[in-house]
Amino acid sequence: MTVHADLPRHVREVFLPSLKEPHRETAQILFEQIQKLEDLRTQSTTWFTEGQSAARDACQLELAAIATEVCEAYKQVIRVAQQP
Amino acid sequence: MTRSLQRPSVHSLLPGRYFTDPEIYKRELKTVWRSTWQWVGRVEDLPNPGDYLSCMLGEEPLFVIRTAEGALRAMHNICPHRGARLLTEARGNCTKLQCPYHAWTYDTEGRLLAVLQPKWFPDLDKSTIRLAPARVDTWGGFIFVNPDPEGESLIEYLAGYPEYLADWGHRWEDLREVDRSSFEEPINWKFIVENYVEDYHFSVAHAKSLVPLFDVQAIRTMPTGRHIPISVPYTPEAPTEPAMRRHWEAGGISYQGFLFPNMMINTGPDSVSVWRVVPLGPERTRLETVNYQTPEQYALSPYVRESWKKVMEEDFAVCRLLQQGVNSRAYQVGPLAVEHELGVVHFHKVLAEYL
Repeated sequence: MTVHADLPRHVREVFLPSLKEPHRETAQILFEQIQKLEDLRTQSTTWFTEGQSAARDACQLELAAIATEVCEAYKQVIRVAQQP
Repeated sequence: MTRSLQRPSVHSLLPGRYFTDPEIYKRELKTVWRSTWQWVGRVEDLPNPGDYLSCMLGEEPLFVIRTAEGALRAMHNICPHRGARLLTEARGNCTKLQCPYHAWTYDTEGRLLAVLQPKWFPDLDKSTIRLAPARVDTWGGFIFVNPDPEGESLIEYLAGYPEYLADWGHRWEDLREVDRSSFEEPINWKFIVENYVEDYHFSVAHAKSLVPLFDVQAIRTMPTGRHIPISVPYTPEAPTEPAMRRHWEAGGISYQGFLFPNMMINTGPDSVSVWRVVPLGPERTRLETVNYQTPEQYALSPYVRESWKKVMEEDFAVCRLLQQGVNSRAYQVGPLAVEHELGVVHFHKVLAEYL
């Protein structure tokens, strides 16, 4: 995972605090879940031996699919939160 | 920005041996890669005095460092004492640069500060020795280096490309890295570029991947200077596949294009993907891809790593076919498509001026 530190910092310190409740807390939870899933995916590359590349790729894809779903939920919350 | 609709002429194309011949490859290293502006990193990669990145442009080892005064300097990564490589790490921080061979020491401006056993150099005038300078400049937060200490400025070299990218609705300076990948292939670097600068192959190679996303008929290739901006509108209707829909933007344009000799910029609805083509030999190339988002883009759509391996493989597969065909005595390039293969001719024309 090579996400530059400025990006999550902006979300945590500027963007999320600008949202109104109860959406702020929901978005915060979903954002942290996305971070955890991405961290998990980075770690998961070490769970497999050299001969298990197919299993490793499948695991990566599955974790990416879950992160994508959580991200879609996050985006929906943001859309609702930003409605006037 | 000028736009050419001339009929591409195959007569200006380089012959097939230019894609395999070690002598041609060596010539490219001494011409193209020694005297062009090339992207090496981002300003935010070097925030503090002493932060540096080292790179190879062709066979030229160089580095960029932030000086004590906060400026960026580019220098050849070679000690003027015996020619040893100075900085061996890709990135790091140092207040002084010390050669690992005989410990000659330089400041971040490249001035010689000290030598080991100074008594053994009775006539040495330190003020006459410094690291060989290269040129460095930035655009949109991207650091460009030119190994040649003289010649046109970066902005002259870019020849209107920044104006083309200005239509993208975000500040390029705000981009931050979210992901990077690397691919190595048994292909000459010029075939990778050729394939990138034409869209005629989309409906065959990318029928299921990119065609549902982009309005292929409306793609416009608009050479400017040495470079090839390619405007790629999204399809009028959203793709039916949910995974593709996430990369689609109603009424939007993907600002794509090639900056000679080896940089490719591709904007998406909520990120930018920047690619670097690195020649490793006459028939070997590495493609490095780095994805970026602005803080605002990241806040609205936090980056989740989706693999573009499939699309990349679609391109590499056709490039491998080119490499396999180029040695044939029957190898030739026939008539090229107006507009949709214009980029190939422009790339060859520019390259021919260097060779």
